[in-house]
Amino acid sequence: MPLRSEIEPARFTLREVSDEILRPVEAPPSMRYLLGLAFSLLCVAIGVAAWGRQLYIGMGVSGVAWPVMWAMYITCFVFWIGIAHSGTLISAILYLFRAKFRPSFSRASEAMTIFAIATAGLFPILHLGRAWRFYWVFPYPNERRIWVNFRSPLVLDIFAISTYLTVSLIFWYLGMVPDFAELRDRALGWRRTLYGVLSLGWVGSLRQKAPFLKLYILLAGLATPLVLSVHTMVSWDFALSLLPGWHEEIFPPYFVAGAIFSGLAMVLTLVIPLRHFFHFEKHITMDHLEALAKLIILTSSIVAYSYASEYFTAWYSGDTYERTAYFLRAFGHYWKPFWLMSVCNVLVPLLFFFRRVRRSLVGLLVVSILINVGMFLERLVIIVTTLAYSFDPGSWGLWHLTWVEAGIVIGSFGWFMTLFLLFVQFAPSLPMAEVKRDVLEAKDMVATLSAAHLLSEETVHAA
Amino acid sequence: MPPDYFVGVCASFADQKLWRAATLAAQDSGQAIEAYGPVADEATMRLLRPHSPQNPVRLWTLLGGMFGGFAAFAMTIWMSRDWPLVVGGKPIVSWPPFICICFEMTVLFASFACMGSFLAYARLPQLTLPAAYRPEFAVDHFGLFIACAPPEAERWQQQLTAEGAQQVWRIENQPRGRLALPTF
Repeated sequence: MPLRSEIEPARFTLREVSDEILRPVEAPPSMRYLLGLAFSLLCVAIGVAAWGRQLYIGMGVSGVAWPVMWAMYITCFVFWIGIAHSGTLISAILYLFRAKFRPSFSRASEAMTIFAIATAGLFPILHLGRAWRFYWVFPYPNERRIWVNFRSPLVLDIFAISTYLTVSLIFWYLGMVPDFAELRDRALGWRRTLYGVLSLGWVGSLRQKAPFLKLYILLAGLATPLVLSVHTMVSWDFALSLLPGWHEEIFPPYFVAGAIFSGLAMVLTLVIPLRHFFHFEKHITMDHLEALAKLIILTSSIVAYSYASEYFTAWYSGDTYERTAYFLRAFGHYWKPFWLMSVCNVLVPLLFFFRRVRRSLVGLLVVSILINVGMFLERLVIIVTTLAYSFDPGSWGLWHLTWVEAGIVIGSFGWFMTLFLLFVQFAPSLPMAEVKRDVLEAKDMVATLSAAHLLSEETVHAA
Repeated sequence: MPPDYFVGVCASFADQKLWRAATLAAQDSGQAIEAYGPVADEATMRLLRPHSPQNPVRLWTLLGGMFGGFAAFAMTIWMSRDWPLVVGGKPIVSWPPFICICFEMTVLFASFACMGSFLAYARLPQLTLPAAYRPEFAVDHFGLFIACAPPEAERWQQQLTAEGAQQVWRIENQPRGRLALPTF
């Protein structure tokens, strides 16, 4: 028998789908939306002011100081890259597996990916004292006649992240072209011109659809290993060093699982308000949200295993420095973020074993926010504790948060939210063409099953 | 209406199954057709275009990926030899880390080639829309355009109506828009 979620879309007509999904784009922005946008822009202004001060005075105003030369900025970089991971992964992998709940999350999660990379990419630049020389990391012909060091994971990062951004952008934009075409046909004035350009003249003919379907599956296939490669290379920024707490083989899968875990949580954090404010309850059902919660249980257990494995490896190695590093991670100066991280990432997701929590919007939202907090702290703990307590106790030193760093972190969240809010106002938040395909498939399925008397009268009537 | 402008007839269907059947019948008659619809699903494509010409998107994606991979290998090896920086006693041409660059460039160029070939094969971007296209084809209706000569128009109009079309109309190549004739 089919799942309820498979035949549920049969209740809608195709026009209803268009009207409901395009309503937020076509209607003028609400006061709540404008207040949210104003708040996000205020956060961006705080970040810009903090960065301006750092540029004017120098890196000393940030908390970056020997021996903790990577602190909040690289924490944010890894956090946002992690958030970016789930978007394309959800969209591409669920497309390859033909998951029925994919359309509910794919568009928002792809947008989340783009905006999270755009946010993450700022941090290595912010971390540079002379930010205007960021282009030195690219291999370009220059008067100094030197090239970049291709053995460095930092250079691998540049290639991986810029490729990931480009491929995700192509995947996201081309997936929206059929929806932009519908918007073009409905819009007037400057919006008609805007969507006319964005839709590229798409008319949904067989000539266009045949290569489109091929393109989409190929891009999904290309994006999937790319997702895994990017966070693997980010993890090598740490694992290829020799420092205790960083030099570990488990880092690539550990980072990838953590990235998917945090990304899934962020998708929930974004989609639940989206569903509520734009009235997408019919298309983003509790079954869909529950499916995401189940995925979070899986990734949380991988992350929990990785934490345990790290400690076991440190103990089993018998290496004094390794053991000390992990002991101080849990009981040193930074014990609070460590234990908070452990609770948020290991214990809190266990609440999703309870069906009542999985099917409660408040429960889903609270748990997803706590996971985001936990994953942010995880990156902070990994980066700061290792640098603060490296080999020689004589070279130990602590890092303290400064207001400039805090301002820039607030600014990054504001920047991300601003981009996301602009996206939901100017582009369809759900892939209309795919939702319509599900509607037609559901109608076909209901017709077939009811002809074979496999569906109850009520179900057929409701559909 | 000048008869020179006449290019065919177009029908609008509310039901996908009727549209599929009419499209198949028109295809089997050997007539040049174009079909429009709000949904891009593989089942319909398999049904309507079972013998479609070799789709070049896959081939171009492969070629793009191969170019990216080889270009990355060439770039990393040449640049490392041009600036022979010894790091940690590793060889100047340390191919294991270079594979990472190659992988990324392979995916990047494969994606560019995939997008480029899609746009070329789908003939996008287009500045004007085909005269047969109606906005309802993007919402909840399915369109079928049949290119035919004026004497055949009446017969096709009757056939499409009999096949369940809600509306059938003649298409003139209006000066305001260009009709992109289908070429299969």
